[in-house]
Parts: sequence; structure tokens; C-alpha cells
Amino acid sequence: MKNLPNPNDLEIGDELPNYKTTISRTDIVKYAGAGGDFNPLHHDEEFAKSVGLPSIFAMGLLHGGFLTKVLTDWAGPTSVKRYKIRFIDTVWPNDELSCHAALKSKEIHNSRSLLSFDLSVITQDGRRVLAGEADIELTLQEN
Amino acid sequence: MIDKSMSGKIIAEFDFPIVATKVKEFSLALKNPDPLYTDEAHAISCGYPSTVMPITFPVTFPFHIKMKDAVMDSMKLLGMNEKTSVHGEATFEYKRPVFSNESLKAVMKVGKIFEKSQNSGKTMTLVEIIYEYFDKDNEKVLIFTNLFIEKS
Repeated sequence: MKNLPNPNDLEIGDELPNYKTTISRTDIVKYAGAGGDFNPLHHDEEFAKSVGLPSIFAMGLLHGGFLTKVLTDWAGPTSVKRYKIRFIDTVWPNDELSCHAALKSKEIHNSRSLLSFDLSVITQDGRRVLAGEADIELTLQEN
Repeated sequence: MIDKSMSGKIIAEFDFPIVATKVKEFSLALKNPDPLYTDEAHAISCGYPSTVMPITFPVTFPFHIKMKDAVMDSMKLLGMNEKTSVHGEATFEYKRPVFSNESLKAVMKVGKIFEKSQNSGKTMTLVEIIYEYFDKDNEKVLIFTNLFIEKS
């Protein structure tokens, strides 16, 4: 099993290491194929323009998926108990995204810890395109 | 006009097998090559039963459901106007981790339907579509909730 981090190493307001990536059209098409979201607004340029959009745009769950990496790289892939995301603004091809998680609260009960994080994804021009919250449960490591 | 009597109604029931190659494809599409998602032998050597199902993997339900377009067909069933409706939120709640080679049973149903005032003074209607996933022992292992917003 992956070694779990020690929740005592993290204070309220501390950020986990963030994750940055740029969204390409290929990323969007790959995610459509992997996830099963074939809404033409996400892959058909002519269709997107026909409804008044400047181009196709990314599914919210694509950058919502990128953001999970911030949590699981730190806590491991099996510690996230709740992951809630709100789609605030549109992500376009070539947007540069920065994914963040900051500790909001920490409860320690015996050997188990419940940590809650505020989440956000921000673009290169400072737009907050996604907000959310996550709960992570960890077992305290013995010193 | 959204049919509020639909709240609580089951829309579909379907099998949801967790296939390791699909888990790997999904993880790589999220630019996450962590071998705990992509390499079964590595995951097993680390003490897991197989590769770990990524947190947002339940969104792949369209591959397993019999409806032609699960989201659009559900909106039509509810009487939602797809031109003024947007995907507002997604929530994933896990009772336990899920691994490749498990096969879950899923129930897709309508959750709460409620209204909120917009800053403009107009009203918007919010509709929850809930997916509950059960393991072979019929234990609920996760709940995935989508919130759709129809603006007036």
C-alpha cells in the first residue's frame, strides 16, 4: 500500500502541491473517448460555432479529473471519501490550468483523521473555472 | 416545464463492470500515469487487489447504459429545456475504494428538484440525477450525483 502522509504536517490554509497543465483539443477528444461524453459541443467545431460559441470547449469533468491528481498524489488513490466540484466558467482549448487544494479543516479521532480541502482550478488569466471541496480520510502514522 | 413528480423515480438500472484497460485509458486521458491506475501487476505488488478505480471514473456510465444518450434522454424525460440547461455540479461519495475486475450494479434515479432565485430576479430550477453503485454483496459502495441547472 502507498505510504500515507502525516496529517499533522499540514496546517489550516496550507496548499497541497498544485498541478498545472494546458488543455489541448487532443486532450478533449481523448477524454470524450475514455469517458463517453460525446456532446458535439466538446468535439465538433462547426456545431459549436453554429450555436454562437467561439469554438469547442472542455467538459467540466476533464479539469475536474485533472484536479483529483492534486489530492491522490498526496494522499494516495484510496483515501478520498467525498469529492464535490462546481463548474463556474468555460475552459477553452489552449487554456493553461492550475489545480489547487487548500486545507480547510482537520479532525483527528483516535488513529483516523478527516481532512477537508477547498478546491479550485484557475486559468492563466486568473479566471476561477471550477470550485469544490473534498474530504480525505487518513490513518495517523506512528512515530 | 420540468415535471417535479419525477423526483425519486428510477430512470435506469445497469451493470457497471470495472475493466482494467478502461481504467488505464481513463487515467491516461486525465494525464495521470500513476501505475496504481495503469499497471495491474504493480498495483497487486503494492497490496491492492488490482488497479484502483479513479475518483471520477463513474462518469463512464454511458458505455453501459441502454439509453442512446443518457444525459439528453433524461433531460427530455424530465421536461428540461436542454438549450437553457447546464451541468452545474458533480459529487462523488465513496463508502470504500473500488478496484478493477469488480462488477457493480448501478441505479440511476432522479433526486431533488428545487428552485432558486437568480441575481436577475428570475428563477432557476435545479435537478439532481443520482447514480448509486452496489457491489456483489449488494453493499452501496459509491454515490455519484450530477446537478443540472435550468435557467429561465
